[in-house]
Amino acid sequence: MQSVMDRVVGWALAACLAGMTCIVFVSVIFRYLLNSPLIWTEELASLLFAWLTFVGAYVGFRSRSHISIDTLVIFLPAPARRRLTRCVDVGVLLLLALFVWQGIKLTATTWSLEFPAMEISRGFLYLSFPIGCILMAIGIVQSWRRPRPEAASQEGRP
Amino acid sequence: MMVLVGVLLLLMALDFPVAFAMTGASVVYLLLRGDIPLVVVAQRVTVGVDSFVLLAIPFFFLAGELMNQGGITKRLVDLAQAVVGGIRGGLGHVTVVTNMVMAGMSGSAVADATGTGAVLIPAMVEAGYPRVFSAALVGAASTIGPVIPPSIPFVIYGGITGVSVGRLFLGGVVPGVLMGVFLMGAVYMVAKRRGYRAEGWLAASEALRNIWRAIPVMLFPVIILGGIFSGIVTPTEAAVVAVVYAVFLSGLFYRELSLPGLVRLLTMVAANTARITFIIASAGLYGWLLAREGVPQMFTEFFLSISQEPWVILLMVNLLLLILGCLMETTAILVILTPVLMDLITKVGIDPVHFGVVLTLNLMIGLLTPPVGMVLYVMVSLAKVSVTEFTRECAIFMLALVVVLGLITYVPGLVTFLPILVMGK
Repeated sequence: MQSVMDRVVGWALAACLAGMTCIVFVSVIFRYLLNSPLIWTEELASLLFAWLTFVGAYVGFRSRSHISIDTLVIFLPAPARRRLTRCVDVGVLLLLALFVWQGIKLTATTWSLEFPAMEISRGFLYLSFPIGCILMAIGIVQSWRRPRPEAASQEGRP
Repeated sequence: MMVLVGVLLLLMALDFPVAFAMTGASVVYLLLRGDIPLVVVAQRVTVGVDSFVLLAIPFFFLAGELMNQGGITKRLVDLAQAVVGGIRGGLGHVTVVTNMVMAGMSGSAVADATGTGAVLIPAMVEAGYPRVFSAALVGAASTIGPVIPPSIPFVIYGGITGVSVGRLFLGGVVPGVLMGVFLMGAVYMVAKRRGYRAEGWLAASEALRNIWRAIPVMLFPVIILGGIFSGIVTPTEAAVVAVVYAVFLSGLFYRELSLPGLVRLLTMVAANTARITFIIASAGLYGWLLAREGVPQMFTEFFLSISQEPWVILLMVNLLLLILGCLMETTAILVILTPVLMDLITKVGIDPVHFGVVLTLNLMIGLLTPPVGMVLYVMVSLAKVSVTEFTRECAIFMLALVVVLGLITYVPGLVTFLPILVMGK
């Protein structure tokens, strides 16, 4: 069951990663084949990376496949474990609310600063955190209403 | 300090997502102190991923997954078959060698385990090997992946400590080859005891054809490692070049990758990257507070009060990591403990490159041990065997890996020889 939001986030993530790949590749080409290094590529790729991290965390919450340590709680009986999971979710939501608030504050105070090479506001970097946190909160609430048992693949850990 | 560590352990035990256990403990600590504005939470976490070095993580993931989906892994298996298939325990050796070569292209053990397991387990079962033996071997062999460069854990370690990722990559070469050799020795012993036969060598013409068809694939390690070690590209850029080459190879050359397939893959890799980098971002905040509290120094003093000898320290650290490796997720240990351990390591004069490789190999063994072992669970679900069976069957392979760990811990030259030879002191 994929909501419109899942699809939009999925496409945004794919575009982000493809964009990062192209940017870094182009920078290598310009430096070695054309001998005119681009100065803004590292900054832009790192900026996209921050967005990928915080927006991508939405998927982890949506499919409940984020990394956690269940070594102890697997010994709890199922109903108690469900209640605990709900409590943890509420705790995470409280933290997310705090992060959104502080993230927006930080974005506002850094808006006048600029990246040295790109000459755009550093606020675009700090904005990724509160936006990502809002998405994560939505992901948690969505996972309550429409649980998705086929958790995202376990692939991709080092 | 008690608050930071205590709340972290409590939240982790309650099954909080690791990233939120770290940020949560930090928030509680900041609220209790009251003199540091909470806005540092947002600032430290965001800056934690604003790093060009860490960018290599999604690219090395992507390269590994592209190889799995694009038919590149299959060519590697054929190649290994031609080279070592005739030794007693044939397909077992093929598994080890495939993973060693794959390790030279991908940076993730779990990607390697899934990719080679999907091809090799059915092949081994069909050839008459027990299912659980095949699964245990693929799992053990996949841990070579992050030790032979490129390697995601090395990138994370380098990103946290500032140690050159290129040096770490070079330092992993010999230990990774040793892991392969020891695993092949273990396969041979098991095969002999249980009477597994060799499948026989391939006919020369077929062997040559397999090797010929794998040549474009073998260019991978040449591009990645050659590029990094000659100083032409940074590890991050090399990872991107590898991705572009993998797209070219699987999309245009082998024609096993479609555009919708590529989009699905990008989304999956992005989501999997976020799960790890979000933890690294949170560790940026948590590690900063630990350092402010002087926790690394306390840790160092504690260890030094037991012994001043580097070899005893290394033994204690290795045992600590092996135990933690059973209980906790690899990335979590790596990001939480690396900054804490660095103080100790530099004080007793252990080379940080040497230690980075020891740490990584140690944590890779943790991927195979219950109750928390990522590769263990991938293999168990892929091969449909039980955790107990897997663990029993994997014991001899883990023993082989622990022997290699001991070797590289106490013969530092095995690690440091290559980096010094190629990149100087």
